[in-house]
Amino acid sequence: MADFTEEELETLEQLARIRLKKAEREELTQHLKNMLDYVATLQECDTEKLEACSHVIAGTTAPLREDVVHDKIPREEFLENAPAHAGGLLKVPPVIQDEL
Amino acid sequence: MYKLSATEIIEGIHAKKHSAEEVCSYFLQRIKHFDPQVQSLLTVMEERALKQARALDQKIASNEPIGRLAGMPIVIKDNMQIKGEKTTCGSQFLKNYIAPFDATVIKLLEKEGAIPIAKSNMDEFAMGSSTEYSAFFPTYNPWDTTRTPGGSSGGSAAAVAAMLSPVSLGSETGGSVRQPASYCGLYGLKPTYGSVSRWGLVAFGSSFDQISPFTRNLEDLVRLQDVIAQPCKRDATSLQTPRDYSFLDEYKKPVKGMRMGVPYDLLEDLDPTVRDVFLSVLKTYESEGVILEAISLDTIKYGLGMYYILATAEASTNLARFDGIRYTTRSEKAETLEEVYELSKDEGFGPEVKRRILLGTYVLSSGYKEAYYQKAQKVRTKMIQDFDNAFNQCQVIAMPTTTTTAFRLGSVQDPIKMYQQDVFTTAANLAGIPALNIPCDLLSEDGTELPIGFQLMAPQKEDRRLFQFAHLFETARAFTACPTLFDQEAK
Repeated sequence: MADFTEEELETLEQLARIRLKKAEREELTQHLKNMLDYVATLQECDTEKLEACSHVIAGTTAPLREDVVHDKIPREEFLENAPAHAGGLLKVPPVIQDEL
Repeated sequence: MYKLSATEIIEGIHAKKHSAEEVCSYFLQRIKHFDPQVQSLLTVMEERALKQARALDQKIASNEPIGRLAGMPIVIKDNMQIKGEKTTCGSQFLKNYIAPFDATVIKLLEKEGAIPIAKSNMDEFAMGSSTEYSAFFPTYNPWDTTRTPGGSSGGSAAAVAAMLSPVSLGSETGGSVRQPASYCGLYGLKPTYGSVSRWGLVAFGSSFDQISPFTRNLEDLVRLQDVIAQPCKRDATSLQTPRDYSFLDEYKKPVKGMRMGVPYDLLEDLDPTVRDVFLSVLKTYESEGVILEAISLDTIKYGLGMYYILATAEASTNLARFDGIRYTTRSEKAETLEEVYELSKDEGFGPEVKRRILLGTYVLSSGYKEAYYQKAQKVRTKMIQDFDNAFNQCQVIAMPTTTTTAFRLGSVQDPIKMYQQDVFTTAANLAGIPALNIPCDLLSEDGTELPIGFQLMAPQKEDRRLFQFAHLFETARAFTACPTLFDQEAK
C-alpha cells in the first residue's frame, strides 16, 4: 500500500490553497493512497529511451501574433462576476498584514 | 418534428417548409414537457433563442443568404461560454457566473444560423462518468430513468436521446462524450486534438480537452463538424492549417478493402453479451469487404493510470483560478487573504473535484514529479508510438466503447470504480487521435432495452476516415431505435 500520511495531506492543502473539512480528511487520505497504488503500474513500463510528451500533435509550435490588443472585456462587464469590488477594482483582504 | 434529423430541419428551413420560430418553439415546448423526466438541462435560453429564430425568419423573408445550419436548435454543455448566459460547469462555485464572451464554437455555430436553446447538465468541471457528480442534480437516461446517461456530458447526451434537440455539444477529456453516446444510443465524436477550438471551453485538462458533438445520425455529425472544426487564432493548441476539403464531400467515399485493426486480447475480460455485440459489428464490416487485422496495443493497460496522473495534474493548474478573487464565489467566513482562497475552494468544490485537485497537486509536487508526472508523460510518448505502429498495419482500429450498458444511479460509489468506465476511451485522448462512438445495438436488461455502441479510432487528422467507416456501417445497420417514453408528442 502506498505511503500517504496526514502530513502529506497538509502539504497538499498548502500547495493547492484549500482547507479541507475534518470529516473529509480520512476519506481523502485513503482515496489518495488507493489512487497511488493504482497508478503504480506505470512503473512497469520501460520508458528509458523516451522523451516526455510535450505536445500530442508532433511538430506543432505555438503560433505567434502581432502584439496588438484585441478581445477586450469592458471593466464593468468583468466586474459583474467579481465577488467584491470598489472603485473599479477587485476588493480583497489586506495582502501585507504586518504593522509597518 | 422531434424525429426529424438536423439535416431535415435545416433543409425544411431553406425550403420554407417551416419557420425558424416554429422549430424553436416546438423544441422549447418539448423541453418544458419532457425535461423534468430527464433533468438534462441547467438553463433554457428561451428568450434568446426565440429572438434569434425571429431574426433568422426576417432574413429568410428578405431573401438574404442564410447559413448551413440555419434554424437548427442545439444544446450546449454548460462548460462552454455563451455571452450573457450562466456558465456553471455543473459547480456551486460558478452557479452565478455569467459568461462575458462567446466561445469560438458558439460564434461559428451562430454564423451558420444554428440556435443554441439550452445549457446542459454535467459532472462538476467535467470530472465524472455519470453526471451524478453535478453539484445541482443528476440527469436520467431517457432509455431507463433509473439509470445514468453516463458523463461528464450526460445532459447533452440525454437531451438528444430524449429528442429535446436534434443535436448537442459535449466535451471530452477522457471519454466524456463517447461513453454517454454508447449509453444513450448516439453518435459521439472526439475529434483529433486541436481540430475544434477550446477558446471559451472552461479548461479541465488542456492537452486532452476537445469539444465533441452528439447526434442521432451520421450526416448531422458530419455537417456539424464541418462548421466547428476550424483553426482558431485564440487557441494556441488549435490546428492552424485549414482543411482543404469538407467532411460532407468525403464521408461517403468507400472503404472496401481497407484494413480494420482489432486488439482482440482486450476483449477477453468483456461480458460475453457485450463481446458478442462487438464481434457482430466486426462480422458486418467483414461482410462489407473490410479486412480484419489482429493488432496489439500494449499501452492501453496503462491508459487509466496515465490519464489520472496527467489530467488531474492539468486540472490542478486549470482550477487554481477559482480562488475566491474573481469568479463570483467567495466564502463569507473568509477574513484573511489566505482564507479567501482556502475557504472559497472548500465551499465551492464538490468531493470529486477536490480528489482530483489533490492528486494532481501531489503528482506535480517536488519529490514526486519525476516518478509520476514525468513518467506518465513518457508512457504517453510510448502510447503515441504504439498507435503509430498499429496504424502501419491498418487504416482504422475498432474497439468497444464501454464494457457495459448504462448503470443504475447510485450503483457506483467507489470513485476508482467510476474511473474504470473510461478504460477503453482514454487512449484516444492520450494519443490525440480521433475516435467515434457508433450506436449499434440494444441489449435487454431486467426487461428494458438499453443501447450500446462501439468505437472506431483513426490516425491524427484522419477524422474523415472515421466518418467513411461509420457510413459503411450505417448503410448496412442503421440504429434507428429511440426510447419509448419520449417517442410521443408533448401535450
